[in-house]
Amino acid sequence: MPIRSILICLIILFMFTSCIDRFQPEVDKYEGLLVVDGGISNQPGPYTIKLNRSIGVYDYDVNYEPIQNAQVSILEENGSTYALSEVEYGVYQTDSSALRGIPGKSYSLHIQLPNGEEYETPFEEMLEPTPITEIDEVIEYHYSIDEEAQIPGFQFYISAPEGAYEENYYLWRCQVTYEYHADYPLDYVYAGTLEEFPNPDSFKICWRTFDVDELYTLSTADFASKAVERVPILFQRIDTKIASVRFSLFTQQLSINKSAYTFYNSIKNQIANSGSLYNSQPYQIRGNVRNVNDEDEPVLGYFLVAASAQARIFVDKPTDPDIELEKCGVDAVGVGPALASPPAAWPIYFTGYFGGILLSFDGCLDCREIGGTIIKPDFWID
Amino acid sequence: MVLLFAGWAQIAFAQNASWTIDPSYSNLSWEEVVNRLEKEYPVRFYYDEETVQNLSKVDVTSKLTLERWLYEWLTPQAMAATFDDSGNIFVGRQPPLNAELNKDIYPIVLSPQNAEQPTQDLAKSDFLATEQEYVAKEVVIGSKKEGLGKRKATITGYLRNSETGEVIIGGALMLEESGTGTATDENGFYSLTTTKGNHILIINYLNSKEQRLKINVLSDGTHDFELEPVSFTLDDVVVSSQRYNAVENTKMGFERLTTKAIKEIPLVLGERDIIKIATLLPGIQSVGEGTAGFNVRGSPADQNLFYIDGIPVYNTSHLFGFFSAFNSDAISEFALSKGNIPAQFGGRLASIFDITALEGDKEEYKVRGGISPITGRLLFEGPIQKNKSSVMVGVRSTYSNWLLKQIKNQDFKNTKVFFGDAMAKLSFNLNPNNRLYAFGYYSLDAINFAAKTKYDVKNLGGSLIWSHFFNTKHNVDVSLVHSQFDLDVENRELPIEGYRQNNVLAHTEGKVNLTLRPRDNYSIMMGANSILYQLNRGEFQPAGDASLVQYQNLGTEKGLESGAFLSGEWEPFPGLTITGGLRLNLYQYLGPQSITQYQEGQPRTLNSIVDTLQFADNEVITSHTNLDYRAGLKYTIDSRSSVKASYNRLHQYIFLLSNTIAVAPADKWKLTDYHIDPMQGDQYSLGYYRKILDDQLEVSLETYYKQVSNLIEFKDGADLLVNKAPERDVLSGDLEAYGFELMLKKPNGRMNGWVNYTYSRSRVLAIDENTGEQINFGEVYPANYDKPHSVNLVANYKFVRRFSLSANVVYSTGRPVTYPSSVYFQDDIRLINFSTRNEYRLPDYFRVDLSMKLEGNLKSRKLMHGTWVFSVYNLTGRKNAYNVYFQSGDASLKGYKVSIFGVPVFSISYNFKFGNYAD
Repeated sequence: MPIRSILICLIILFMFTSCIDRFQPEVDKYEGLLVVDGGISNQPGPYTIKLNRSIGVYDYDVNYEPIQNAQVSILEENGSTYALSEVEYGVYQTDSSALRGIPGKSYSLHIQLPNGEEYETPFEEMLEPTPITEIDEVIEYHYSIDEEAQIPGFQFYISAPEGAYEENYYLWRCQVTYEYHADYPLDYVYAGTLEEFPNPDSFKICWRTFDVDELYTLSTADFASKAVERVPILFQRIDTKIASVRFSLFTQQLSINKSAYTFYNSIKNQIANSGSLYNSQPYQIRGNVRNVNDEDEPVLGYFLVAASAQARIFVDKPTDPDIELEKCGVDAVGVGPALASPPAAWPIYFTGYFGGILLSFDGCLDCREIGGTIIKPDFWID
Repeated sequence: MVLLFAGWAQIAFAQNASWTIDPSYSNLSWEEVVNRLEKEYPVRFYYDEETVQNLSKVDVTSKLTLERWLYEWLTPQAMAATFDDSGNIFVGRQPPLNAELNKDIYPIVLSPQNAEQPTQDLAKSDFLATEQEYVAKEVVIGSKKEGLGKRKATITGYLRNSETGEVIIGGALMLEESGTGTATDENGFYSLTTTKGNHILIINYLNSKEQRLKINVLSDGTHDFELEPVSFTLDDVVVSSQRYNAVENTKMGFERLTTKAIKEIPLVLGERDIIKIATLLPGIQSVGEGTAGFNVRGSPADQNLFYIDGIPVYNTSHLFGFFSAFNSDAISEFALSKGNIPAQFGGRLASIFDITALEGDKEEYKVRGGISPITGRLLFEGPIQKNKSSVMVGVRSTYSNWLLKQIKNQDFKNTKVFFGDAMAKLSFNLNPNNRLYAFGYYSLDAINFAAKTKYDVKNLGGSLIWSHFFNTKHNVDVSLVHSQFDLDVENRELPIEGYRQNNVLAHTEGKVNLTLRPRDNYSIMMGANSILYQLNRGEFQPAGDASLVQYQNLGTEKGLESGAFLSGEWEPFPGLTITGGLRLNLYQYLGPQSITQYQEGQPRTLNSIVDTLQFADNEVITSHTNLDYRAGLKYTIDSRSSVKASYNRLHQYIFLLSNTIAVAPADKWKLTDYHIDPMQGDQYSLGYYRKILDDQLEVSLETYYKQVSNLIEFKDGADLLVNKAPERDVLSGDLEAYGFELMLKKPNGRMNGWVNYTYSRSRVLAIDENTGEQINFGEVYPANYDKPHSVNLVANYKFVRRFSLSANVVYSTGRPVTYPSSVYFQDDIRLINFSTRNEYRLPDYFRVDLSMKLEGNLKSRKLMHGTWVFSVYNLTGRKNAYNVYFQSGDASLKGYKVSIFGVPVFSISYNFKFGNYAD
């Protein structure tokens, strides 16, 4: 339970003098360490294990270095061995019908790299899942170091009944899906000639899904009750398109063991705590994978053996009148030049929403430009 | 001028015509003559052996009165004898006479009409001519009766400021003829042994008018002297540890500063802060701006002990470290031992920061105060019974949350920041041999961030010190001290994890120090003390309705640290001084306690528990007996330079449960227990000290090498917030630190200040040999405050009496930091793999501060005098890195740099006092 707010408090106390700037120190000692990413759960497979090398600090995802041609298998204690096959570069998968995790059983991971190095994890028991009682949301205003004003958002809270063990450890993963609309109809399109678009609302309604890149962990070890009540998980800011129509949160509640909790919680703390001097030194957090012949070789990532419970909720756009979204701007001046643009820039979209022909950002006329799809997800409930 | 001398002899004639000497004395040695005369007549001779060494052979041609013969025989040898009416005969060199004596000053001596019939008894007159100035008043010390049969006598006493009555430390007392002298010690106490008889005593001290006194030493005795401060010229321009002369003193790694000396140093937000100023001295570092405590010669912050008038202060800062917990108005001075810690102090490895609170004026009432953007201060001092006893009360507090109210933010309307401190000191001179001091200290922080995080931090302490002098040479100090540190933290950031936690450390101490000065060339100090630590590790309980936290009681701890010490200073021959000290420590960890035993050779974890032992109240659970020892050597090369060397070994039985980069506001103290061994430190140092440019500049170079074993380090990821078994997270490490400190100081003058350069390294290795546990993969890592290069410049310039300008320039290497070394993904979340500990460094730190002081008018008759101080902190607005952190951006990792004072910070403060400028 670290004290997170001190830095924010100091920044605010010294708001007239303090500042935060972008700063990219030179960190040159990059080493490509083995990264194991994946696990097994009680949900139906296939289960995926990704093998990669860690990448440079400022590298983009494209530099992701997959490890190909490894022998990967999952072992069930006192049971069978399930080999995984490489389905993509560095992505290994179980045969979906062959293996399904069962709470109470223990599993381990075994890897042999093409260079002959062998890695394994200890057997980790899949703990009994705890159901989710409820997820609810409240509109809250939060501080951010980067922004002066407070940010409005949905704060989601999760509750669960008593877990099966004396001490229960949870990891929550969230996935967000939201419906959003293009601001204006797509009325005209220019691709050499300016034409009326047949169905102006075709690209109006989209759904977009993304995984929340935050970790939520909890230990009930210091708690009086084994049940958890209203643990804050995702805070989703709502002054954006995300909450402009309807929003859905899918939550996975993973019951993990103490060692996995220590791993994820340490990582969570390192992410949350870096700004203040009242935090401990960051350090290399190793997972549960070890080189069979060299205990000291650093291996990153965790082979997670965890049963989960899942829940999905839907939330409509907030009615709070204070939260007003800005609409896209439109432009008449640019229309002339746009119509003279070379084929490389085609097609160019226009709206007739205000009468006449106006330019706007593509995403304001075609919702797919923001990353969504016009295909309604199966789970979506209007 | 011969007339004057003739006058002396004349007196003798008038008095002792019956004492005669005849030719039978011829060819005797001077000693034989003296012996015979003393047997024959009721006379007693006083002389310095050195001065009579070269006397010519005794030659008595006829029967003469003693006086006549002495006059005739001594005068050609530039010697003279002086008689008093009790038969004491003082033989010495002729007083050097000044042919240019001013008649206005010496009317009695020089008036021509008196030439033939000199004054009756010059020895008793109020004036005595000397080479430089006249000396007013004779001070008679002791009594003839007590002095019978002794040639030498020791005079002792205090030297005080005649205006404030405060003792003067480091004041020099010198006998003019012999050139021998002494300096007052930490208590303003001096002890001087000389031959009986008349002497000219010169007393001087910076900022004071030199006193030249005739003293007539009859026997051992006590006398307090006073020096009048120079009314304005140097009053507050003087910066530096001028009271302490590094060349002459035997101490090493020692700094002393007076509050007056730091008056001009620029301020942060208008607050004068002795801890910030200490970090401008060589060898003293801090982790970052606004962090509590400091690091001395590569040691962690918990290896420093802060004493204020004997009270240990366990939390030395307000607002997490942004301000120090000591109101500089109420402090007269502070001394920092960072090298050879004196044997009377025990229990810390790195430094003793010894603060002396202001002693109230024993003559008149005074009130002064000040206001800065953050705090208001008020100080009262004055006599309780004039010249006998005094009181001083100083308070300081934040006066409003006006700054916070400027923040238009819902949550922060609920934020309150309050801190304050108070000190009170009573001093009683019970009689010349007994003094009593009572001192109280209180400091409070009450911080409430958005009603979510609360800190209540309190220090409360009291001390009672009795000083007794006996036999005029020796003194004993007896003190009783109690100090308590209370910490209350509440955190509701996450309602379900909302908690409240308290922690109390009580320190109760009794101490006896005895100082013996058997001879001039050596002194012995011995004593004993005992500290009872009572630590309530506190309760951890839910806060708020939503909290799911389970109540836990972390229990209490008790420890007794006792010590006996003996230290001495000996000058075997002029120029060489040897100091040494032994301190025997006995530390006992006491019950009641239940002790968990773990399997031998295994990491201490929940799984390796083999047994639990129960101990009854006051039952000794573990005890450690250790010997602290130290030795020092000073060799004076000449009057301008000296070299010193020292070595010490020390032990420490209490430490801070802290694994944060800087000392965090919620860090708690912990006693050495059943599982954790005391820390042990060794330090070697060597130094060279020299005065240059007509003694205007002092240069010193000190080097040191330090080793600490059983350093308390914490395993990666240790959660110390609520930790029932800290031993499971402790790893004992070794610290190695070394460096050198170069200091150039100009203590006096219109332009004064210092500049220093420090090279220092501090590195830690933490591996448990038995269990194989380690930090940083068993590799050596730099300590968080390891800043190899550091330069500090402090300069003051006084343009005119009412206006002065000061500047600080601070440079240091950036502190070590752990940066990401690579990035990886787990379930598409970008995670950081960090480098080895403290592998990188923050950008270098650089800061310039400027301060301007404007005094009110200099009218002598006025009710109140005011002073404005305008300060700019970080004039260049350099955005010095407080910390650097990383966040996952959209496509790659992004780094950010936090600066707390990233712009020039202006502040104005106003100080006032009743009376005029000079008062």
